[in-house]
Amino acid sequence: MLNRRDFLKGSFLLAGYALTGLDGISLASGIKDSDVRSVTLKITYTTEILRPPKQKGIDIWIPLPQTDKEQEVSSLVIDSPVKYSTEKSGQNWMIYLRADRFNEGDRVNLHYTLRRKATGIVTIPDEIPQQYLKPSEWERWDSNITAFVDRVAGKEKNPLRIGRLLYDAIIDRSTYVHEVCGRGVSTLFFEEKVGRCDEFHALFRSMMMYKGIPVRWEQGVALPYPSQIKKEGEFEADCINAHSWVRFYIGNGRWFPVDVSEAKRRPDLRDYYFGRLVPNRMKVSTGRGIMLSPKQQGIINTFAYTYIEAGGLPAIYGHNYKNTIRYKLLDMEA
Amino acid sequence: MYRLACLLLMVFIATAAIASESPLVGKTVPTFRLPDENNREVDFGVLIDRPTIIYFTENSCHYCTQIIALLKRAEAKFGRKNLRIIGINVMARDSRLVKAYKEELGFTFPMFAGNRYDVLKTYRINYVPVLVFVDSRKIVRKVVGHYMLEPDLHKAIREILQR
Repeated sequence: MLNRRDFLKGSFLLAGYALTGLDGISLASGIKDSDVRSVTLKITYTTEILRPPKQKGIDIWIPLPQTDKEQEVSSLVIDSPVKYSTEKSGQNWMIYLRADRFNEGDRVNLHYTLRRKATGIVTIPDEIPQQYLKPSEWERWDSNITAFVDRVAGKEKNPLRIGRLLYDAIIDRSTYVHEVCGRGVSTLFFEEKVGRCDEFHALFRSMMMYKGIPVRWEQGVALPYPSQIKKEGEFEADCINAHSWVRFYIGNGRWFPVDVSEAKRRPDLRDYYFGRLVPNRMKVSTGRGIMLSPKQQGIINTFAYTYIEAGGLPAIYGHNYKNTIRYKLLDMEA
Repeated sequence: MYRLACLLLMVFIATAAIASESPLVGKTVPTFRLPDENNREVDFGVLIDRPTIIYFTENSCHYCTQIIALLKRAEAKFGRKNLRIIGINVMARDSRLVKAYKEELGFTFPMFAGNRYDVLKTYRINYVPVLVFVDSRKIVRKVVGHYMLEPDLHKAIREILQR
């Protein structure tokens, strides 16, 4: 339920936005990211062939975001130059296309409306938490990590308190770097102490799993913060704009969210991001070491954006293809 | 103004941390036997017979693809006799991906399949792009773990050429 102050703030905000109607002008003034309850966007996700791969036999998998307790996806329309199928593998949905060749300029467009909510703890009663105790090949831990966890968490048994101790410890010892493509390897990040979201969350996941606490990996794309969002915008869906966060199990079917890397980047939201998520993201898949449908040849670390194989080998992003997200802001609830 | 100053300070601190902390700097460059595009196991150390850039890249990295154009121009500017460029694809576990990558991008430099934990751990490759600048005595002089502007790349090359 909105209180009067929030209602007025939201109303003035949207009225001002409607009056100015200026494309490219940030709505920033006055919005506090932690106060925004939801953001609704009209999204067009495009994968475009830039230079057709030389190898024949092109397979394209595009992640298909789903409605769940964190977001609502509706009014999906797909246009594609070739026939496509909708596939599911594990928890993840995707669009799959195959052709001997694609032409330069061929585009696959996914149009949909996304309502992303500010979320906290979610209850998923049917899931078996123990399945989230298995590290991917990038999340194995070594004796340096276990010694660190033992020192930081001591004999603490409460998952929430362990989570907070490790969350703070990772933030305090690490440096965030944005303009790189992370590999999310826990042991290397522990040593290097420099990385981005995948590194922060791989390490957090490793540490929590070592303590016997199941952790879900949630993969998505970063959207602008509500305080920075424009009436319309466009950005690439690539490894720079991919974003991950995690949820750990606190019992009775409840999963507690943390975004360690964003807490590092935004010290003002450090407490908020332990247990809440700003609606500046779109979830598109779950887990790491993804198996697609039909099965791909290569190894997929995370599935945040379109994956293409040519002759069974990964195509080159920025050379063979690129992905673009165009959005229109439809609503913001404060 | 205060926020801008803080942001600039954070960027400076982060860049300084990334640029200055590689423990490889000042040491002899580590080398490995890795598969090339023809599936031959090659010790890439034998190629480091002149000032060299070892370039870590992978297929999903747009910045990495852009840097290749800079490397090609750098080789043309400074001369192949004076500067060696070696690519290591950290996504590739065998020669097939290396071969396809080289063909797609016209990557004329030697390239190796580098998705091996000992290689990545030794070079501390937790993300890409990473450029390792090595002088003629096989000493690592600089490690850059982010996109480089062309003037900065040329400056780093001149530094290894002068040693």
